[in-house]
Amino acid sequence: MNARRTALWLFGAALLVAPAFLMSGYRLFQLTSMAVYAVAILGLDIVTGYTGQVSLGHGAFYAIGAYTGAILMTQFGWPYWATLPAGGAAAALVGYAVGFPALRLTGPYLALVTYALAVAVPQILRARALESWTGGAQGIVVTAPDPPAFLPLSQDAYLYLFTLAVAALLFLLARNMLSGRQLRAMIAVRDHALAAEAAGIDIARVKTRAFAVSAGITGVAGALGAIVVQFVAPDSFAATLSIALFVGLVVGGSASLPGALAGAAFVQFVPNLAETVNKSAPGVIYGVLLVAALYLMPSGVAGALRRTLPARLRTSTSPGKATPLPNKGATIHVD
Amino acid sequence: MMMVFGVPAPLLFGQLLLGLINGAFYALLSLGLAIIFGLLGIINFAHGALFMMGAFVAWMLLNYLGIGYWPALILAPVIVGAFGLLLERTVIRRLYGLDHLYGLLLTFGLALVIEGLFRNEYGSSGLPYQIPPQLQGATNLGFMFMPNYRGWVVFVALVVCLATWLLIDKTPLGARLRAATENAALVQAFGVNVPRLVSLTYAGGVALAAFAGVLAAPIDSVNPNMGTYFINVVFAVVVIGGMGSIIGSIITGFGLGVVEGLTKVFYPQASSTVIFLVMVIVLLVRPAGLFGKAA
Repeated sequence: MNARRTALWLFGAALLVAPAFLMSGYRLFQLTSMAVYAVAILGLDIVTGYTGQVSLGHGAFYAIGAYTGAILMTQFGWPYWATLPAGGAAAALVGYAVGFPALRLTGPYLALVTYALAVAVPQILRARALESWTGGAQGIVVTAPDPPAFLPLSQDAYLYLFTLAVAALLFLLARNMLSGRQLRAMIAVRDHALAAEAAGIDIARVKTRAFAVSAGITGVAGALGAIVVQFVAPDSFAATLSIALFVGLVVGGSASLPGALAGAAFVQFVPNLAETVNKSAPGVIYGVLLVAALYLMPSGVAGALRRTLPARLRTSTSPGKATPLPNKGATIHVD
Repeated sequence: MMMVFGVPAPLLFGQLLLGLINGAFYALLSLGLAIIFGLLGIINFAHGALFMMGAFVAWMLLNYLGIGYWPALILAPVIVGAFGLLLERTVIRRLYGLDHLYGLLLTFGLALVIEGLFRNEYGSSGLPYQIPPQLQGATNLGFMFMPNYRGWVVFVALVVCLATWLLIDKTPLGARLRAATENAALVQAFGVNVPRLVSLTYAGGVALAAFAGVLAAPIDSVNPNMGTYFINVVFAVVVIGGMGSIIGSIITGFGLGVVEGLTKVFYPQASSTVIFLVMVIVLLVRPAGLFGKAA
């Protein structure tokens, strides 16, 4: 049993490493950006999937990580690998700060507020006052790192393997963090905050920490993204990025680590796929696929796999014949 | 030239008017969003696309059927509202009972589809729509020249906003709507057809967006992206005003339009960020929004 598991792990690792030697150029770059997306979605998963705080603003943390990395590299001459923890730390700090007001907001309210954050960040990055740091609307060009001399690899292959290694490290880190007491505390806060509090869980601490860790991981993804794309500019971090991460989370399956990978694949490849199907209206195909994914796999790719692999009975959630009533929104008042 | 606070008066009043016009659109859009969110619990990301559709339907009515601006002002909201009804009945309804997130993503997907279809058919360069002859020209107000059409937009938006407010505050239908946002199951038990009320509410909110779209058609060019700019700001307006507050949506919509206009005069660099700045401050002081009630 154990040997089989090891073999499976090795096979999986080989499958991930292989493209570095089999592919090149744009194809490989796509896989690299998919790995970056996977890390960003992993970050979002911690706060939204596990702790239940909906964030539509993780593109902002991604941007903070990316800009921190780019500025440190170009203006302070930091080596590229050192910018990853720095970008993560900067984003985590901001995430922690956002976590406090977020304590007072729930569900769709938090979603809207974080979305507004996502809309505001590119505008702040464009601001005249910060231009000497951020390069204004032009952004910052970053030079890609060369592979170390002892590795006989092309730059693309090296970048892919480097990204893969960082992603693997963060996934392992997240897996260890999301276990035992911490995991149960987060899920309890998500599923029933009041009961969690009664059980002695410090909700504020769990939530703000989740926000900080989540923003930090997405920030590392941002710093990685800056290295991979070799360019940061306000327009790369428009609100659509936040939505793309969110789409990846839901389509992949929230509260699932492999789901983050599946979601990243959706976000990276489906828009391209849509463009090959219909050049003039890729948005239509993407939109239709997104809507289809919501109906066909309401618990994401991860949920769909979980349901089909072991032939267990489905929990009955079919609402019966009557038209279900919508969720509670906001009480409308006129005074 | 007359100066006000060190700024030429025509510039100040011109920007104030522009602010009021934007405010009119913010108010109409956020009003619809607030009603839809109140009853359906869905953040309607398709709102901008439906606003754009309103403008396009007006353009189509004129160019394919020869129906002018005035009938379009009624017809376009009805047509787009009916489309909204169809959407609610066929796709949105199926996601009730699931998490709020699904409705949000679904409407986002719908917006992509709608905008994509229009872009595919009409391109994104924009189509012209003439100001109706009765409203061409400008009026001298003494301190500035006001284009008649712009004055009309502010006026009619205010009237429609107040009418919506009266509808919700004073009529039995409005009372049912408010009661259903408080406790849908209980209202259903009293014999009110809540699913129908939900459909009508969605259609109503959508019709308001389409109405704003028709109003916007002669100001902007009619193009598939025209909703995108507004919708982002309108989400912030809803947060600042407080979700669920009818009067809050109206006042905040117009108010923030004016604030934006004034910022353009006194500190132009911040004009695109000022609303988000206001949002941050409001959230820190009153997380439920200026007119919201704490949950």
